[in-house]
Amino acid sequence: MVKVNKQPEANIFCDFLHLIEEEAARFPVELITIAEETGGGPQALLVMDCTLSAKRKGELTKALCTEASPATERERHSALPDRTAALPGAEFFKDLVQAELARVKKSRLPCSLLLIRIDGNGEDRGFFNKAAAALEMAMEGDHHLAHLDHTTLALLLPGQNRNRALRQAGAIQQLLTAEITARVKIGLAVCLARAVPAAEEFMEMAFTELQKAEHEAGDIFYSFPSQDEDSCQVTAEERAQLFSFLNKGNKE
Amino acid sequence: MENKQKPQIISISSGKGGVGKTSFTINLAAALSTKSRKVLLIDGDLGLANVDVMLGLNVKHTLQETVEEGRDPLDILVEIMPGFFVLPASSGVPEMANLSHEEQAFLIDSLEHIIGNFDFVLVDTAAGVGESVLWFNNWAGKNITILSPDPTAMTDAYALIKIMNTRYNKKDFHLIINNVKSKKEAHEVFVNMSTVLENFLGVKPCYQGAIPQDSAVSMAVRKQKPFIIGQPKARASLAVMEICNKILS
Repeated sequence: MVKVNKQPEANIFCDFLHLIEEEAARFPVELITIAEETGGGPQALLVMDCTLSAKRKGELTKALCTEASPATERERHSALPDRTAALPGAEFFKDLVQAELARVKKSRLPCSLLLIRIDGNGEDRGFFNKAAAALEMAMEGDHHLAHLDHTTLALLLPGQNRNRALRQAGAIQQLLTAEITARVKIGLAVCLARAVPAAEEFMEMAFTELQKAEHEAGDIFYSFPSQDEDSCQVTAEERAQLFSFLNKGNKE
Repeated sequence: MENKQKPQIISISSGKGGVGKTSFTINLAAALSTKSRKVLLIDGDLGLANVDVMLGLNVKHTLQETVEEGRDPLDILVEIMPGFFVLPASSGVPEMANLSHEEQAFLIDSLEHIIGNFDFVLVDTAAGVGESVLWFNNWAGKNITILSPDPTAMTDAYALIKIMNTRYNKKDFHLIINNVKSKKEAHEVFVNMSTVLENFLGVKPCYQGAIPQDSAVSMAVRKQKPFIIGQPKARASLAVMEICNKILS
Protein backbone atom coordinates (compact mmCIF):
# COMPACT_ATOMS: atom_id res chain seq x y z
CA MET A 1 0.00 0.00 0.00
CA VAL A 2 1.26 3.46 -0.90
CA LYS A 3 0.06 6.49 0.96
CA VAL A 4 0.45 10.08 -0.14
CA ASN A 5 -0.46 12.81 2.28
CA LYS A 6 0.97 16.18 1.48
CA GLN A 7 -0.25 19.70 0.91
CA PRO A 8 2.35 21.91 -0.81
CA GLU A 9 1.40 23.73 -4.02
CA ALA A 10 -2.13 22.50 -4.67
CA ASN A 11 -1.83 22.42 -8.48
CA ILE A 12 1.45 20.57 -8.49
CA PHE A 13 0.05 18.08 -6.04
CA CYS A 14 -3.11 17.61 -8.15
CA ASP A 15 -0.99 17.01 -11.24
CA PHE A 16 1.12 14.57 -9.32
CA LEU A 17 -1.97 12.67 -8.14
CA HIS A 18 -3.29 12.68 -11.68
CA LEU A 19 -0.08 11.07 -12.92
CA ILE A 20 -0.36 8.39 -10.26
CA GLU A 21 -3.99 7.75 -11.20
CA GLU A 22 -3.09 7.34 -14.86
CA GLU A 23 -0.27 4.98 -14.05
CA ALA A 24 -2.43 3.06 -11.56
CA ALA A 25 -5.07 2.41 -14.22
CA ARG A 26 -2.70 -0.19 -15.67
CA PHE A 27 -2.64 -2.19 -12.46
CA PRO A 28 -5.25 -4.06 -10.43
CA VAL A 29 -5.45 -1.42 -7.76
CA GLU A 30 -8.18 0.65 -6.24
CA LEU A 31 -7.78 4.38 -5.68
CA ILE A 32 -9.51 6.42 -3.05
CA THR A 33 -9.02 10.17 -3.12
CA ILE A 34 -9.43 11.99 0.16
CA ALA A 35 -10.48 15.59 -0.31
CA GLU A 36 -11.01 18.57 1.92
CA GLU A 37 -14.36 19.03 3.55
CA THR A 38 -14.65 22.56 2.18
CA GLY A 39 -14.49 21.26 -1.37
CA GLY A 40 -10.84 22.13 -1.96
CA GLY A 41 -8.33 19.95 -3.75
CA PRO A 42 -7.41 16.41 -2.81
CA GLN A 43 -5.25 15.87 0.24
CA ALA A 44 -4.31 12.26 -0.11
CA LEU A 45 -4.62 9.28 -2.37
CA LEU A 46 -4.89 5.74 -1.12
CA VAL A 47 -3.67 3.09 -3.55
CA MET A 48 -4.82 -0.36 -2.56
CA ASP A 49 -4.34 -3.82 -3.96
CA CYS A 50 -7.79 -4.63 -5.33
CA THR A 51 -7.32 -8.33 -4.57
CA LEU A 52 -7.52 -7.61 -0.86
CA SER A 53 -10.76 -8.66 0.77
CA ALA A 54 -13.29 -5.90 1.35
CA LYS A 55 -12.97 -6.44 5.08
CA ARG A 56 -9.21 -5.92 4.98
CA LYS A 57 -9.59 -2.84 2.78
CA GLY A 58 -12.06 -1.39 5.23
CA GLU A 59 -9.67 -2.03 8.11
CA LEU A 60 -6.73 -0.47 6.29
CA THR A 61 -8.58 2.61 5.10
CA LYS A 62 -10.11 3.14 8.50
CA ALA A 63 -6.73 2.81 10.17
CA LEU A 64 -5.03 5.14 7.68
CA CYS A 65 -7.67 7.83 7.86
CA THR A 66 -7.62 7.79 11.62
CA GLU A 67 -3.84 7.86 11.75
CA ALA A 68 -2.97 10.24 8.95
CA SER A 69 -5.73 12.84 8.82
CA PRO A 70 -5.86 15.97 10.90
CA ALA A 71 -8.52 16.03 13.60
CA THR A 72 -11.17 17.76 11.49
CA GLU A 73 -10.60 15.40 8.60
CA ARG A 74 -10.81 12.47 10.94
CA GLU A 75 -14.10 13.76 12.27
CA ARG A 76 -15.47 14.14 8.78
CA HIS A 77 -14.50 10.67 7.69
CA SER A 78 -15.47 8.95 10.84
CA ALA A 79 -18.46 11.10 11.84
CA LEU A 80 -19.22 8.64 14.54
CA PRO A 81 -21.97 9.05 17.06
CA ASP A 82 -19.86 6.92 19.36
CA ARG A 83 -16.29 5.74 18.81
CA THR A 84 -17.22 2.25 19.98
CA ALA A 85 -19.24 1.76 16.80
CA ALA A 86 -16.05 2.34 14.75
CA LEU A 87 -17.93 2.86 11.51
CA PRO A 88 -16.93 5.21 8.74
CA GLY A 89 -19.10 8.26 8.15
CA ALA A 90 -21.09 9.51 5.17
CA GLU A 91 -18.29 11.30 3.30
CA PHE A 92 -15.95 8.37 3.44
CA PHE A 93 -18.75 6.01 2.52
CA LYS A 94 -19.41 8.05 -0.60
CA ASP A 95 -15.78 7.49 -1.61
CA LEU A 96 -16.25 3.77 -1.09
CA VAL A 97 -19.41 3.78 -3.22
CA GLN A 98 -17.55 5.65 -5.94
CA ALA A 99 -14.72 3.10 -5.90
CA GLU A 100 -17.16 0.22 -5.93
CA LEU A 101 -19.09 1.63 -8.89
CA ALA A 102 -15.84 1.96 -10.80
CA ARG A 103 -15.21 -1.66 -10.05
CA VAL A 104 -18.67 -2.66 -11.27
CA LYS A 105 -17.75 -1.13 -14.63
CA LYS A 106 -14.51 -3.07 -14.71
CA SER A 107 -15.59 -6.42 -13.31
CA ARG A 108 -19.11 -6.36 -14.83
CA LEU A 109 -20.44 -7.69 -11.53
CA PRO A 110 -23.34 -5.92 -9.83
CA CYS A 111 -23.35 -4.25 -6.46
CA SER A 112 -26.14 -3.36 -4.07
CA LEU A 113 -26.63 -0.56 -1.60
CA LEU A 114 -28.90 -0.80 1.43
CA LEU A 115 -29.94 2.17 3.52
CA ILE A 116 -31.24 0.93 6.84
CA ARG A 117 -33.27 3.24 9.04
CA ILE A 118 -33.53 2.12 12.61
CA ASP A 119 -36.34 3.73 14.52
CA GLY A 120 -36.14 2.60 18.10
CA ASN A 121 -35.55 5.10 20.79
CA GLY A 122 -35.33 8.63 19.41
CA GLU A 123 -31.71 9.63 18.96
CA ASP A 124 -30.30 7.33 21.62
CA ARG A 125 -26.77 6.73 20.32
CA GLY A 126 -26.14 3.70 22.49
CA PHE A 127 -29.19 2.04 21.04
CA PHE A 128 -28.16 2.90 17.51
CA ASN A 129 -24.61 1.66 18.04
CA LYS A 130 -25.92 -1.59 19.45
CA ALA A 131 -27.80 -2.12 16.21
CA ALA A 132 -24.70 -1.30 14.15
CA ALA A 133 -22.57 -3.67 16.19
CA ALA A 134 -25.14 -6.48 15.89
CA LEU A 135 -25.25 -5.98 12.16
CA GLU A 136 -21.47 -5.88 11.76
CA MET A 137 -21.20 -9.09 13.78
CA ALA A 138 -23.76 -10.89 11.65
CA MET A 139 -22.43 -9.81 8.25
CA GLU A 140 -20.46 -12.32 6.22
CA GLY A 141 -18.59 -11.84 2.97
CA ASP A 142 -17.66 -8.60 1.23
CA HIS A 143 -19.43 -5.57 2.63
CA HIS A 144 -18.91 -1.98 3.79
CA LEU A 145 -21.02 -0.73 6.65
CA ALA A 146 -21.18 2.97 7.43
CA HIS A 147 -23.06 5.41 9.57
CA LEU A 148 -25.01 8.03 7.58
CA ASP A 149 -26.91 9.95 10.26
CA HIS A 150 -28.42 9.46 13.72
CA THR A 151 -30.81 6.77 12.56
CA THR A 152 -29.46 5.45 9.26
CA LEU A 153 -26.85 2.86 8.41
CA ALA A 154 -25.56 2.30 4.89
CA LEU A 155 -24.45 -1.11 3.71
CA LEU A 156 -22.63 -1.61 0.42
CA LEU A 157 -22.61 -5.17 -0.90
CA PRO A 158 -20.09 -5.69 -3.72
CA GLY A 159 -20.96 -8.40 -6.23
CA GLN A 160 -24.51 -8.84 -4.95
CA ASN A 161 -27.43 -8.87 -7.35
CA ARG A 162 -31.02 -7.98 -6.60
CA ASN A 163 -32.11 -11.36 -5.27
CA ARG A 164 -29.14 -11.78 -2.98
CA ALA A 165 -29.44 -8.25 -1.70
CA LEU A 166 -33.17 -8.67 -1.07
CA ARG A 167 -32.51 -11.86 0.87
CA GLN A 168 -29.83 -10.03 2.81
CA ALA A 169 -32.22 -7.14 3.51
CA GLY A 170 -34.85 -9.56 4.81
CA ALA A 171 -32.31 -11.23 7.08
CA ILE A 172 -31.08 -7.87 8.39
CA GLN A 173 -34.58 -6.75 9.16
CA GLN A 174 -35.28 -9.94 11.08
CA LEU A 175 -32.01 -9.71 12.95
CA LEU A 176 -32.40 -6.11 14.04
CA THR A 177 -36.04 -6.50 14.93
CA ALA A 178 -35.20 -9.49 17.12
CA GLU A 179 -31.97 -8.15 18.64
CA ILE A 180 -32.97 -4.60 19.50
CA THR A 181 -36.72 -4.57 19.04
CA ALA A 182 -36.56 -1.71 16.61
CA ARG A 183 -38.69 -0.73 13.65
CA VAL A 184 -36.45 -1.27 10.64
CA LYS A 185 -37.05 0.17 7.18
CA ILE A 186 -34.76 -0.60 4.26
CA GLY A 187 -34.25 1.09 0.91
CA LEU A 188 -32.25 -0.89 -1.62
CA ALA A 189 -30.66 0.11 -4.93
CA VAL A 190 -28.94 -2.29 -7.30
CA CYS A 191 -26.31 -1.25 -9.81
CA LEU A 192 -25.64 -3.27 -12.94
CA ALA A 193 -22.61 -2.88 -15.17
CA ARG A 194 -24.60 -1.75 -18.19
CA ALA A 195 -25.83 1.38 -16.42
CA VAL A 196 -23.56 2.58 -13.66
CA PRO A 197 -24.83 5.79 -12.06
CA ALA A 198 -22.75 8.40 -10.26
CA ALA A 199 -22.19 7.71 -6.56
CA GLU A 200 -24.57 10.49 -5.46
CA GLU A 201 -27.26 9.26 -7.84
CA PHE A 202 -26.88 5.69 -6.63
CA MET A 203 -27.21 6.78 -3.02
CA GLU A 204 -30.19 8.93 -3.95
CA MET A 205 -31.86 5.90 -5.56
CA ALA A 206 -31.53 3.96 -2.32
CA PHE A 207 -32.70 6.97 -0.33
CA THR A 208 -35.84 7.29 -2.47
CA GLU A 209 -36.62 3.64 -1.79
CA LEU A 210 -36.02 4.19 1.92
CA GLN A 211 -38.53 7.02 1.90
CA LYS A 212 -41.06 4.76 0.18
CA ALA A 213 -40.46 2.16 2.87
CA GLU A 214 -41.16 4.76 5.53
CA HIS A 215 -44.30 6.13 4.03
CA GLU A 216 -45.88 3.19 2.29
CA ALA A 217 -46.94 -0.27 3.39
CA GLY A 218 -44.00 -2.66 3.46
CA ASP A 219 -40.58 -2.44 5.08
CA ILE A 220 -38.24 -3.08 2.17
CA PHE A 221 -38.36 -1.24 -1.14
CA TYR A 222 -35.91 -1.57 -3.98
CA SER A 223 -34.90 0.05 -7.20
CA PHE A 224 -33.59 -2.06 -10.06
CA PRO A 225 -32.80 -1.21 -13.69
CA SER A 226 -35.62 -2.17 -16.03
CA GLN A 227 -35.86 -5.91 -16.58
CA ASP A 228 -36.65 -5.53 -20.27
CA GLU A 229 -33.52 -3.59 -21.07
CA ASP A 230 -31.28 -5.95 -19.16
CA SER A 231 -32.82 -9.27 -20.04
CA CYS A 232 -30.88 -11.61 -22.29
CA GLN A 233 -33.63 -14.20 -22.32
CA VAL A 234 -33.91 -15.83 -25.73
CA THR A 235 -37.41 -14.89 -26.84
CA ALA A 236 -40.01 -17.07 -28.51
CA GLU A 237 -39.52 -15.11 -31.74
CA GLU A 238 -35.77 -15.67 -31.69
CA ARG A 239 -36.25 -19.39 -31.06
CA ALA A 240 -38.82 -19.69 -33.80
CA GLN A 241 -36.42 -18.19 -36.28
CA LEU A 242 -33.51 -20.27 -35.00
CA PHE A 243 -35.50 -23.45 -35.48
CA SER A 244 -37.03 -22.47 -38.80
CA PHE A 245 -34.04 -24.01 -40.53
CA LEU A 246 -34.62 -27.33 -38.76
CA ASN A 247 -38.34 -27.27 -39.47
CA LYS A 248 -37.62 -26.60 -43.12
CA GLY A 249 -35.28 -29.62 -43.14
CA ASN A 250 -37.97 -31.80 -41.55
CA LYS A 251 -40.58 -30.80 -44.12
CA GLU A 252 -38.20 -31.56 -46.97
CA MET B 1 10.43 -16.25 -19.45
CA GLU B 2 9.91 -12.55 -20.06
CA ASN B 3 6.83 -10.72 -21.18
CA LYS B 4 7.60 -9.83 -24.81
CA GLN B 5 4.51 -9.15 -26.89
CA LYS B 6 0.76 -9.02 -27.02
CA PRO B 7 -0.63 -12.38 -28.14
CA GLN B 8 -3.95 -13.02 -29.76
CA ILE B 9 -6.33 -14.20 -27.03
CA ILE B 10 -9.09 -16.45 -28.35
CA SER B 11 -11.96 -17.77 -26.24
CA ILE B 12 -13.72 -20.92 -27.34
CA SER B 13 -17.24 -21.29 -25.95
CA SER B 14 -20.50 -22.92 -26.87
CA GLY B 15 -23.10 -22.34 -24.21
CA LYS B 16 -24.17 -25.97 -24.28
CA GLY B 17 -21.82 -28.68 -23.03
CA GLY B 18 -20.71 -31.63 -25.14
CA VAL B 19 -20.55 -29.67 -28.37
CA GLY B 20 -16.82 -30.27 -28.82
CA LYS B 21 -15.14 -27.20 -27.36
CA THR B 22 -12.31 -28.95 -25.58
CA SER B 23 -11.61 -31.39 -28.41
CA PHE B 24 -11.55 -28.55 -30.93
CA THR B 25 -9.42 -26.28 -28.74
CA ILE B 26 -6.79 -28.95 -28.10
CA ASN B 27 -6.56 -29.74 -31.80
CA LEU B 28 -6.45 -26.08 -32.78
CA ALA B 29 -3.64 -25.51 -30.28
CA ALA B 30 -1.75 -28.51 -31.67
CA ALA B 31 -2.35 -27.31 -35.23
CA LEU B 32 -1.08 -23.80 -34.46
CA SER B 33 2.02 -25.22 -32.80
CA THR B 34 2.78 -27.34 -35.88
CA LYS B 35 2.86 -24.02 -37.75
CA SER B 36 5.70 -22.87 -35.46
CA ARG B 37 3.46 -20.74 -33.29
CA LYS B 38 3.81 -20.72 -29.53
CA VAL B 39 0.43 -21.52 -28.05
CA LEU B 40 -0.90 -21.39 -24.52
CA LEU B 41 -4.10 -23.31 -23.85
CA ILE B 42 -5.85 -22.24 -20.65
CA ASP B 43 -8.38 -24.67 -19.26
CA GLY B 44 -11.11 -22.14 -18.51
CA ASP B 45 -13.40 -24.73 -16.96
CA LEU B 46 -11.86 -23.87 -13.63
CA GLY B 47 -13.90 -26.17 -11.43
CA LEU B 48 -14.48 -29.10 -13.77
CA ALA B 49 -11.43 -29.23 -16.00
CA ASN B 50 -11.10 -31.63 -18.92
CA VAL B 51 -8.14 -30.52 -21.00
CA ASP B 52 -5.72 -32.57 -18.89
CA VAL B 53 -7.97 -35.63 -19.24
CA MET B 54 -8.23 -35.27 -23.00
CA LEU B 55 -4.47 -34.99 -23.26
CA GLY B 56 -3.76 -37.85 -20.85
CA LEU B 57 -1.88 -35.59 -18.44
CA ASN B 58 -1.18 -36.36 -14.85
CA VAL B 59 -0.94 -32.80 -13.57
CA LYS B 60 0.65 -31.89 -10.27
CA HIS B 61 -0.32 -28.24 -10.13
CA THR B 62 -3.37 -26.34 -11.35
CA LEU B 63 -4.70 -22.81 -11.61
CA GLN B 64 -6.34 -23.37 -8.25
CA GLU B 65 -2.90 -22.89 -6.69
CA THR B 66 -2.47 -19.62 -8.57
CA VAL B 67 -5.76 -18.34 -7.18
CA GLU B 68 -5.42 -19.70 -3.67
CA GLU B 69 -1.69 -19.58 -3.04
CA GLY B 70 -0.46 -17.05 -5.57
CA ARG B 71 1.64 -19.67 -7.38
CA ASP B 72 3.20 -18.31 -10.56
CA PRO B 73 1.33 -19.76 -13.58
CA LEU B 74 4.73 -20.43 -15.15
CA ASP B 75 5.24 -23.14 -12.51
CA ILE B 76 2.00 -24.78 -13.58
CA LEU B 77 2.63 -24.82 -17.32
CA VAL B 78 2.78 -28.22 -18.97
CA GLU B 79 4.44 -28.58 -22.35
CA ILE B 80 2.49 -30.99 -24.53
CA MET B 81 4.63 -30.74 -27.63
CA PRO B 82 7.05 -28.12 -28.94
CA GLY B 83 5.25 -24.79 -28.84
CA PHE B 84 2.07 -26.15 -27.23
CA PHE B 85 1.64 -25.40 -23.51
CA VAL B 86 -1.29 -26.04 -21.21
CA LEU B 87 -2.39 -24.32 -18.01
CA PRO B 88 -4.48 -27.02 -16.35
CA ALA B 89 -7.35 -26.32 -13.98
CA SER B 90 -8.83 -28.37 -11.18
CA SER B 91 -11.67 -30.85 -11.35
CA GLY B 92 -14.36 -31.19 -8.72
CA VAL B 93 -13.65 -27.86 -7.04
CA PRO B 94 -16.87 -25.81 -7.02
CA GLU B 95 -15.12 -22.83 -5.38
CA MET B 96 -13.04 -22.42 -8.53
CA ALA B 97 -16.17 -22.24 -10.64
CA ASN B 98 -17.44 -19.31 -8.56
CA LEU B 99 -14.50 -17.00 -8.06
CA SER B 100 -15.06 -13.70 -6.33
CA HIS B 101 -14.29 -10.60 -8.37
CA GLU B 102 -11.06 -10.10 -6.41
CA GLU B 103 -9.99 -13.63 -7.32
CA GLN B 104 -10.97 -13.10 -10.94
CA ALA B 105 -8.93 -9.90 -11.07
CA PHE B 106 -6.00 -11.64 -9.46
CA LEU B 107 -6.19 -14.58 -11.87
CA ILE B 108 -6.42 -12.38 -14.95
CA ASP B 109 -3.52 -10.29 -13.66
CA SER B 110 -1.42 -13.43 -13.10
CA LEU B 111 -2.23 -14.63 -16.60
CA GLU B 112 -1.44 -11.23 -18.11
CA HIS B 113 2.08 -11.57 -16.74
CA ILE B 114 2.86 -14.69 -18.73
CA ILE B 115 0.86 -14.50 -21.94
CA GLY B 116 3.40 -12.20 -23.56
CA ASN B 117 5.54 -15.28 -24.08
CA PHE B 118 3.06 -16.73 -26.55
CA ASP B 119 1.72 -16.01 -30.01
CA PHE B 120 -1.73 -17.38 -29.21
CA VAL B 121 -3.66 -17.86 -26.00
CA LEU B 122 -6.65 -20.18 -26.34
CA VAL B 123 -9.19 -20.32 -23.53
CA ASP B 124 -11.36 -23.40 -23.45
CA THR B 125 -14.22 -22.05 -21.34
CA ALA B 126 -16.72 -23.98 -19.27
CA ALA B 127 -20.15 -24.83 -20.60
CA GLY B 128 -23.03 -22.56 -19.66
CA VAL B 129 -23.05 -18.83 -19.13
CA GLY B 130 -21.46 -18.67 -15.69
CA GLU B 131 -19.32 -15.77 -14.55
CA SER B 132 -16.04 -17.37 -15.64
CA VAL B 133 -17.38 -17.99 -19.15
CA LEU B 134 -18.42 -14.36 -19.43
CA TRP B 135 -15.26 -12.78 -18.10
CA PHE B 136 -12.99 -15.08 -20.14
CA ASN B 137 -14.99 -14.12 -23.23
CA ASN B 138 -14.74 -10.48 -22.23
CA TRP B 139 -10.99 -10.82 -21.72
CA ALA B 140 -10.43 -12.44 -25.12
CA GLY B 141 -9.89 -10.33 -28.19
CA LYS B 142 -11.49 -12.93 -30.41
CA ASN B 143 -14.57 -14.98 -29.48
CA ILE B 144 -15.15 -18.31 -31.17
CA THR B 145 -18.52 -19.94 -30.58
CA ILE B 146 -18.97 -23.60 -31.43
CA LEU B 147 -22.36 -25.03 -32.20
CA SER B 148 -23.74 -28.16 -33.73
CA PRO B 149 -26.83 -28.55 -35.90
CA ASP B 150 -29.25 -29.33 -33.11
CA PRO B 151 -31.80 -27.00 -31.50
CA THR B 152 -30.30 -26.97 -28.00
CA ALA B 153 -26.78 -26.22 -29.18
CA MET B 154 -28.05 -23.47 -31.47
CA THR B 155 -30.20 -21.89 -28.77
CA ASP B 156 -27.39 -21.96 -26.21
CA ALA B 157 -24.84 -20.56 -28.63
CA TYR B 158 -27.28 -17.80 -29.52
CA ALA B 159 -27.96 -17.08 -25.83
CA LEU B 160 -24.25 -16.79 -25.09
CA ILE B 161 -23.71 -14.41 -28.00
CA LYS B 162 -26.73 -12.39 -26.92
CA ILE B 163 -25.33 -11.99 -23.40
CA MET B 164 -21.88 -11.02 -24.63
CA ASN B 165 -23.39 -8.54 -27.05
CA THR B 166 -25.97 -7.06 -24.68
CA ARG B 167 -23.96 -6.84 -21.50
CA TYR B 168 -20.40 -6.59 -22.75
CA ASN B 169 -20.99 -4.82 -26.03
CA LYS B 170 -19.07 -7.49 -27.96
CA LYS B 171 -19.78 -7.36 -31.65
CA ASP B 172 -17.41 -9.76 -33.40
CA PHE B 173 -18.23 -13.43 -33.13
CA HIS B 174 -16.69 -16.29 -35.05
CA LEU B 175 -18.78 -19.40 -35.54
CA ILE B 176 -17.61 -22.97 -35.97
CA ILE B 177 -20.19 -25.58 -36.85
CA ASN B 178 -19.16 -28.92 -35.42
CA ASN B 179 -20.27 -32.45 -36.14
CA VAL B 180 -21.90 -31.70 -39.49
CA LYS B 181 -22.89 -34.25 -42.12
CA SER B 182 -21.79 -32.07 -44.98
CA LYS B 183 -20.50 -28.64 -45.91
CA LYS B 184 -23.99 -27.86 -47.15
CA GLU B 185 -25.43 -28.54 -43.71
CA ALA B 186 -22.74 -26.37 -42.08
CA HIS B 187 -23.53 -23.59 -44.48
CA GLU B 188 -27.25 -23.81 -43.79
CA VAL B 189 -26.72 -23.72 -40.03
CA PHE B 190 -24.41 -20.73 -40.32
CA VAL B 191 -26.74 -18.79 -42.60
CA ASN B 192 -29.67 -19.48 -40.29
CA MET B 193 -27.77 -18.45 -37.16
CA SER B 194 -26.33 -15.44 -38.93
CA THR B 195 -29.79 -14.31 -40.03
CA VAL B 196 -31.22 -14.54 -36.51
CA LEU B 197 -28.22 -12.74 -35.01
CA GLU B 198 -28.48 -9.97 -37.55
CA ASN B 199 -32.26 -9.62 -37.27
CA PHE B 200 -32.43 -9.47 -33.49
CA LEU B 201 -29.05 -8.24 -32.32
CA GLY B 202 -27.60 -6.51 -35.36
CA VAL B 203 -24.58 -8.81 -35.11
CA LYS B 204 -22.91 -10.16 -38.23
CA PRO B 205 -20.91 -13.26 -37.27
CA CYS B 206 -17.91 -14.57 -39.22
CA TYR B 207 -17.83 -18.08 -40.55
CA GLN B 208 -14.71 -19.63 -39.07
CA GLY B 209 -15.26 -23.12 -40.45
CA ALA B 210 -16.93 -26.47 -39.94
CA ILE B 211 -15.83 -29.85 -38.64
CA PRO B 212 -17.45 -32.95 -40.14
CA GLN B 213 -18.70 -35.99 -38.26
CA ASP B 214 -15.67 -38.23 -38.01
CA SER B 215 -14.96 -41.34 -35.95
CA ALA B 216 -11.36 -40.11 -35.60
CA VAL B 217 -12.65 -37.54 -33.10
CA SER B 218 -14.12 -39.99 -30.60
CA MET B 219 -11.16 -42.32 -31.11
CA ALA B 220 -8.75 -39.49 -30.28
CA VAL B 221 -10.69 -38.71 -27.09
CA ARG B 222 -10.33 -42.33 -25.99
CA LYS B 223 -6.63 -42.34 -26.88
CA GLN B 224 -6.19 -38.99 -25.10
CA LYS B 225 -4.29 -37.55 -28.01
CA PRO B 226 -5.12 -34.76 -30.50
CA PHE B 227 -6.58 -36.25 -33.69
CA ILE B 228 -4.60 -33.90 -35.89
CA ILE B 229 -1.46 -35.60 -34.53
CA GLY B 230 -2.76 -39.19 -34.35
CA GLN B 231 -4.71 -39.10 -37.61
CA PRO B 232 -3.59 -36.07 -39.60
CA LYS B 233 -5.37 -37.22 -42.74
CA ALA B 234 -8.77 -37.65 -41.08
CA ARG B 235 -11.54 -35.37 -42.32
CA ALA B 236 -11.82 -33.67 -38.95
CA SER B 237 -8.05 -33.06 -38.90
CA LEU B 238 -8.13 -31.45 -42.32
CA ALA B 239 -11.02 -29.25 -41.21
CA VAL B 240 -9.16 -28.10 -38.10
CA MET B 241 -6.06 -27.35 -40.18
CA GLU B 242 -8.23 -25.29 -42.50
CA ILE B 243 -9.55 -23.31 -39.54
CA CYS B 244 -6.00 -22.95 -38.22
CA ASN B 245 -4.84 -21.53 -41.55
CA LYS B 246 -7.76 -19.14 -41.57
CA ILE B 247 -6.83 -17.87 -38.11
CA LEU B 248 -3.23 -17.42 -39.20
CA SER B 249 -4.20 -15.60 -42.34
